Amino acid sequence: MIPKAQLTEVIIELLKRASIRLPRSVKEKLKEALLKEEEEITKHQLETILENISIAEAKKIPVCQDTGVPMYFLKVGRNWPANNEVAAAIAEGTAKATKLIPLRENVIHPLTKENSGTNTGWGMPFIYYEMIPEDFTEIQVLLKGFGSEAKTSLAYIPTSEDVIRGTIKFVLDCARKGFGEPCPPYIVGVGMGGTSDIAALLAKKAFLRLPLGKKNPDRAAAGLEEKLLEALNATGIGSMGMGGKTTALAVHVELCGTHSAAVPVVFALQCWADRQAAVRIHSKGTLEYLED
Amino acid sequence: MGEYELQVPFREGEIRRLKIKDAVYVTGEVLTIRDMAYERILSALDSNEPLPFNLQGKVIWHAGPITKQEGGKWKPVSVGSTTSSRFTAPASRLIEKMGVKMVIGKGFMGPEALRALEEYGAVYAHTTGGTAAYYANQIPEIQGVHWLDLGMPAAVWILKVHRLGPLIIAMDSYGKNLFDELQSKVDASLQQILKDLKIDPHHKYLWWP
Repeated sequence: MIPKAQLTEVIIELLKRASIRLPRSVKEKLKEALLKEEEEITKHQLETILENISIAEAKKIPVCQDTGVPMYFLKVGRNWPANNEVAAAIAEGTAKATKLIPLRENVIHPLTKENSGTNTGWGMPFIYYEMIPEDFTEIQVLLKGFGSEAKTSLAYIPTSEDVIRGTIKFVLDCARKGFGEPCPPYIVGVGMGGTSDIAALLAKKAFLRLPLGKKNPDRAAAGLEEKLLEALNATGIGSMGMGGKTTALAVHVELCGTHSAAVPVVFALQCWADRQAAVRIHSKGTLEYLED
Repeated sequence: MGEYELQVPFREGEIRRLKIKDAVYVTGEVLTIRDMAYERILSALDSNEPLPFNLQGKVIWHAGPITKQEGGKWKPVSVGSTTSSRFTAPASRLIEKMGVKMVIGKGFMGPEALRALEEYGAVYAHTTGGTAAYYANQIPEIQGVHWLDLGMPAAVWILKVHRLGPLIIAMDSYGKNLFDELQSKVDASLQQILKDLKIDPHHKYLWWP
């Protein structure tokens, strides 16, 4: 176990990593996308994105002005003593990082619209907890910008119908409606099964799978990922909706068992600025920041 | 596809010259306006109250920047566009009632905005979304800020920009919208994709009637 003050510093470091630099595999896929394009306006979108990524890394500033709301995923290992300091350290780290990096002061009261100025308050930061049978505890942070977040959608596909075709139709309808607004080339997270809330969480967890484009070990899910990626890129929506060959950098599908009547399917997007970071805290207190 | 250097305030006829797909670089004053600032501007307009800034002939940017204070002065950190479609109605009113000449954002705005741009001789310029480190490099100075009580992302920031761009003219003052063309191409591709996959194009997967 590491002391609270040190844990706060770990959270600040995670937010720095997440807001300033992108995972290696995301940058690689963006570069690959540029090579495939021919239209000047589309190439320009991708060139600007790649130059922007370099500037952010060099100047150590947030890669996008919408640093989103931080989502925290805490996987609690065997030797992590149960205590209530973790949540406090995450909140303190979030508030300090907001001033230090700085992050945009995004978190508001949903009714009065009061801004706390710290990205905390009224239940934020929200932490998802999970128990894992390991000797380490892992903290993952995902910065969720709202241009892409606002396109999240839910459908129930009846099992009397072809669920694969139904999911493809639903995803294509969502992509058509969103067009260039959620900042393509984006990453698509599809959560299938459970109940609606489980499907929504799975769609978010899908973004945490690195390297980007790694297949789901479930063969049916992997097959659907491939079909969805092919269909999305055939639409020609392209970078920022300006037309082109790459609309999605990857599609990650996550599954959960569900009711025999209908499959809840949640469509979620992460913009090209796929900002995330993770750390493992080993039982003896050593830190291991994860890179893809 | 022309390329133009523009200085704010614009010269007579300069905006009418622009067509969709043109690339422009803007130098001069730009004001950031987004959700809560629009709400406050429109309520001032409705009750005939004065605003602390003038929008006549100006450029507004749908952006919620990250800024920091250094030695008593505000500095830009990361500044980029937010989705413009949700501002179709308020942006149209600012073009009509307050004389805004250029709106910068990402994505597109609806038909109401296109009509206002045509009638009052203004344009909408698209930026690449999320590239806020890139655009921050084109902002040498923050001249001031209004309504900071709305919070950093929602305040009205008066930016001095130098060659902000290239911005792509996505809606011009002749009723042309770049996205109409792009959307019809995508709709044709979608028809083919659904046909190949034997999916009924009219089937919607909503559970409730």
